[in-house]
Amino acid sequence: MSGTTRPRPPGVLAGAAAIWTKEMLVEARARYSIGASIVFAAVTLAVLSYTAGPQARRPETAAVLLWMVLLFSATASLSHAFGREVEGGTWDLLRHAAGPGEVLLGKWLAGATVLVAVEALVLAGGALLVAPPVGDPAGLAAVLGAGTVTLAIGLPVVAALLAQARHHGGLAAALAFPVLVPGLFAAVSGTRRALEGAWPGSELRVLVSFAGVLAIAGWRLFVFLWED
Amino acid sequence: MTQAGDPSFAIEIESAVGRYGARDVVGPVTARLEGPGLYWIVGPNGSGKSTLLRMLAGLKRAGAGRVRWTRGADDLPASALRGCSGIAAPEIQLYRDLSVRENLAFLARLRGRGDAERTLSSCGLGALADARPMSLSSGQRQRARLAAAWLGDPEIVLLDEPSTNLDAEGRAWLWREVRARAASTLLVATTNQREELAEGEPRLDLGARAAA
Repeated sequence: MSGTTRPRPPGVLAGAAAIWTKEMLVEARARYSIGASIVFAAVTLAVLSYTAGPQARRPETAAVLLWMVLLFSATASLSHAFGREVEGGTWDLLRHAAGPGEVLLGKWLAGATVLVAVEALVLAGGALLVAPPVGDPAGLAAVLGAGTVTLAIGLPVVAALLAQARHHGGLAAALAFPVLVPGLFAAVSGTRRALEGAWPGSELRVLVSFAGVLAIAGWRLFVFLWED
Repeated sequence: MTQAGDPSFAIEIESAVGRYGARDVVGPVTARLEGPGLYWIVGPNGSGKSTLLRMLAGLKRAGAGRVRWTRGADDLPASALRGCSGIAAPEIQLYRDLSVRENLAFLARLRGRGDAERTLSSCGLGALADARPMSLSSGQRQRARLAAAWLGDPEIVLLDEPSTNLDAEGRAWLWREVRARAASTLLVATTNQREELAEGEPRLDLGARAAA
């Protein structure tokens, strides 16, 4: 019989909250993600909107422009989510103290938080430089939300693959394409329809389904990397 | 820390081989390490001490054979180690953008146990609690790593070359702590300095295995 009650590790949600808090504290001090994102967002937004000229206001161009800027910015901020842990020598510290569920969920939440901040800046810049007419603001908000979730789920999984690239270099590059492209097709198409004033129902269904599949596949892949 | 009357923790190493790619770096090793107590893994550089310790920590899978963790008659999955073990190794660092206190508080939150303030104080780091790890001397950083391993008084503690970078006073403190904690903890430490071992302390000699 045990002399005292043995302490137990926290559940997945509490562990993920601890990791999210740590990520936000590190981000607030070092600005690894936001700093890189703002530079990419500002440069790509300025260059693309200048190059496209008045055509940038057309729904099909504005939709591509918006998601290219968001993808570049998100990639700049999230693609090092695990690389920094490996390079900083903290990956094994984390693996020894936490389980894969809380780490991946914590990283997903932290990535989503950073993306929302970056999106706010990109949308403000887009409204200033391009100012496309928005036919269905609610539809646009819904596509942005679903697209953000898809990027926030997909990019950290790609980042985990890249961090292990010394073992899986070819695999990482091969998997990044299917992880990102279908979601972006749906996001661009949905954004165009929302700008034109139509409710992007089918694109939202694709985005939500794709995010769900990505979360499950990403989780399985992450556990494999975790134990490898 | 094992309480009086608790079932003891043990690590069973069954013909375990540590492998990187196609290269075997350690093993096959067979041993039973039963707590509480201090066990040494000794051997020269390159004999696979750190790899074996990573396997004992559940951070690396055995390439052949297996490592089992038990508590009394129960087998524990590697995932259960996070709640009852700590590790310090030269390649495992604390977060450079967090203070030592914040690092320990983060680990305590993840493990669900541990008092950062008490651990910092017991490791002589109370005055350095708000410093970032990179601003510490190498000896102080080693104390911070040891503090992370001992946080929450885990039942299993794994130390890779724990006296690295410590001065004479630091080493004296370390061995006092290690031998005091070994009375209630399964403590496994690696070293290539055989003079660090006390008479009669059980050891796994990887140098002798390599030579054999």
